Amino acid sequence: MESLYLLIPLSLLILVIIAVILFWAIRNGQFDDMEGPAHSILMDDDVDKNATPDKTPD
Amino acid sequence: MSTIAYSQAPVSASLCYHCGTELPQNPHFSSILSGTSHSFCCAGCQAIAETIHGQGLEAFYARRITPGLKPDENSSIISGRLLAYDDPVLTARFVGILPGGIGEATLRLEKIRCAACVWLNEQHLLRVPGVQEVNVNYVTQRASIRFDSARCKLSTLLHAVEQIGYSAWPFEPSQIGLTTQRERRQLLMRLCVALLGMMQVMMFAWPTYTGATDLLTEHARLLGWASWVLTLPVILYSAWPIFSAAWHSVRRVFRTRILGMDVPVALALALAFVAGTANLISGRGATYFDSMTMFVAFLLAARYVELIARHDAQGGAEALARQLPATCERLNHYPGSMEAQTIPVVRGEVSDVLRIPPGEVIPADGVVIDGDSSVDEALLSGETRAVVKQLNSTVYAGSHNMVSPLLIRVTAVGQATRLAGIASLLDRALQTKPRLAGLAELWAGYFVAALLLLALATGLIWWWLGSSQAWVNAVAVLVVSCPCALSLATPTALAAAQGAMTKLGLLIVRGDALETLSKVSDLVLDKTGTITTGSLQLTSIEIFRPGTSQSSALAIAAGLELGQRHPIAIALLAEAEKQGIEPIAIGQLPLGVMGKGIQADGWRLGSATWLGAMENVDTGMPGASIVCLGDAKGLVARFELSDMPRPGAEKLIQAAKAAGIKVHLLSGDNPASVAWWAKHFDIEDWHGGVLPEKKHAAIQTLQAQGRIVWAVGDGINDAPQLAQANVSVAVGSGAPLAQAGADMVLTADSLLPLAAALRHAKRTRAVIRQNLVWAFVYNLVAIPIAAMGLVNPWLAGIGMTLSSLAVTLNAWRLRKARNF
Repeated sequence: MESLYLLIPLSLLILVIIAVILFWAIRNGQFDDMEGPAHSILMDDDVDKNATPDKTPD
Repeated sequence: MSTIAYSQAPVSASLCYHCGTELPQNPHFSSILSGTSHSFCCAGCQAIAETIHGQGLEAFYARRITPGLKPDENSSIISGRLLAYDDPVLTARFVGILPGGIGEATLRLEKIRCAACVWLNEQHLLRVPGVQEVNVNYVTQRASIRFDSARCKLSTLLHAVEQIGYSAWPFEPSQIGLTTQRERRQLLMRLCVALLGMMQVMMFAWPTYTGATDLLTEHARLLGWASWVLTLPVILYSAWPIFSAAWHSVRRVFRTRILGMDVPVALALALAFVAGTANLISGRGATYFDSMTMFVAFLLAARYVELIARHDAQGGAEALARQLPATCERLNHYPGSMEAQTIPVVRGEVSDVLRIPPGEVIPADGVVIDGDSSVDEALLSGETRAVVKQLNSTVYAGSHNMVSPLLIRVTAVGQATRLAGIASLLDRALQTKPRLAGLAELWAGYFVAALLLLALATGLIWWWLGSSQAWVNAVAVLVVSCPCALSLATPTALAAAQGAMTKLGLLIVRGDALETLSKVSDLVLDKTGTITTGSLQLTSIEIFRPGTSQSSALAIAAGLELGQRHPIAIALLAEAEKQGIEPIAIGQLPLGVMGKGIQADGWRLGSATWLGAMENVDTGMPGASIVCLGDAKGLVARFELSDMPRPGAEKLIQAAKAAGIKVHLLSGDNPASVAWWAKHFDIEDWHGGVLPEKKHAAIQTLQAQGRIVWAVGDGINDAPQLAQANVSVAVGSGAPLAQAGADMVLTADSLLPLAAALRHAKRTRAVIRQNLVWAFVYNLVAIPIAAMGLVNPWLAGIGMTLSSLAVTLNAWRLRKARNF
């Protein structure tokens, strides 16, 4: 049971790391759009961007 | 690429490839795209499809769920309207410049209907030279774009979106937008901290739940302190809004006489934390950390759902900006020269001369100095029929010029316009809006008082009995009776009901609106655009010339009106299209005679007196528009057009009456027309010709009599009234400004969801009451047990979880609402 003295502080440390990652993700706007990415993953961009000539800007 | 199957796309030969409407007989547009021949209804659709295929984005047609919309206009050159956005003043407003000459702009996209639309816009914008990054938010329909400001301009981006059949307008990152984003992210962070804390504290509490006998005291203390470390941020950070709201509520209690729900919650949390910490130090008694963290997490989750719904509705500032165009045409050297310069509206000043082309929104208040036209002021005043504007007539910002160009001299711009005046009235009304206390809040005050007395009594009795457990038991009373179920009773029920109503087409913006709805005593309806659709429809054709059929008369009228944009023309043309009648070809360009009608090829279409008709035909249903067709020999046919009732209006009024609610009709339209509709719908109390200020005052008068008012409206003139009413509904297709002050937004076309909401509100109230009763029963059982000192931690934990679960499951029943 001595291991508790290591494991419990360790669990607290991991929790702090998780919280920091979550904070970063929220600030970075990862949770701002909860629907779009679910759709956009199905829309693959397999079209070659350079295949078509660029339009000339007006 | 050739492997993409087009089976989902409308390939039927008789439908347009892009917009899916039926193809006209002729002329016919077709082109060969990716080796297949496709037909189009118009040149606009053809151009869009060619652009999409030309860039290798044809997968859009296989992926989309709904067919595209018919484009309004489409051209390969950028119009002056868009070019005006390149004006340094406007560009500075909408484009942020990052280091390295990178511009950043946010566009609001319109007509987005499925994920494929989002994809198409992203891919198409990425192909514009100079664009580096495009990110479209599916929920808010906003695109944030980063581009090389030297190679690409704002107008190029806007034009690119229009080229594929969507429309976009630049979005000013307003203060309000930033605040809502920060608010949402902050609450999400608080919620995450509470959820993480709850998870881990539960884990640490597990040995005490299972009653592990081999747990040494020092290990138990280690777990206890670890829990304490986790609970501290939950109390100090996550629960902070609860404490500050409770403090506000206490400070205002003498004025409002209502103790907010946050007060007992904050009190319980604070006491439980202090007692738990004291017990931890002394090593005796329970610590309650598990219950506290779980409770905070539940509460914040319910609040987060509510916040998201509120943010979905638009802010007032954004709505006001959307009401006006961004650019206008100014005549710099009038009357010397008629040369017009397109300028941003923000740069317009008083006494400028502006030209307003037909079909455009008037950007400022002013006086007509040249031209005559008719103007649609329906959103401003509720008047259905177009108002004729001649020399020296006053025109208002936000109204719609319909027939011919007008020259106006500006008398007021920006905040001085009548439109802005109504907007500020809206803001004031929102501040004075009376808030009804919810059921839970009414009960909370008594509950807290009773609880404190009970805890005190428990402590005193045990102390008098000479027990060392007096303090522990008194705290147990407070914690066990923790107003968990009490405070969850309302939010869970409202959140569930909210979800159900959204599915029916009614977006509930302010959470407590449904609870208030169950108590309303008066329903105030607007006429134009609310109980009617607000657009004219042909109701009858009467023939006066033998040998002329109804369809041929309509064909002539439609031919004369072809290309016109005023409501009568639109109604006649729509009816001809519906019946499949081809408008006759008119040899000469129809000549408009202002306020009377138009003539061409010997035909005249207009008022009966202008045609010189002998027959008295100008009478019809009040509010209806009569237009007559004639030639040199006299009257040929008479068309009656009128506003149509909105679907579901009758059912809503019946449902309201059945529920004992008094129905009022308050409209800015002329009294005769309002009277006709009041009779049609059997509404006893009606008023016509009411100004926005009067509407607002009428609601206040009703409220002063102790009535609880439910208002439904759509126009700018309804906005102050909607803000003042206890519960208000804005019709979604109406003015954005009206939505700014409303508690609910009707996204469906019919009024039926409102009748359903009325019924669902009663059910919601019943569920809230059941939940509150349950919370009290639980407390009635739990408090005596706690007072006797019989509560141990696992019993308290189970009791609290069960009571919360019962409340949540009961609320779950509200997820489904039947439509009427």
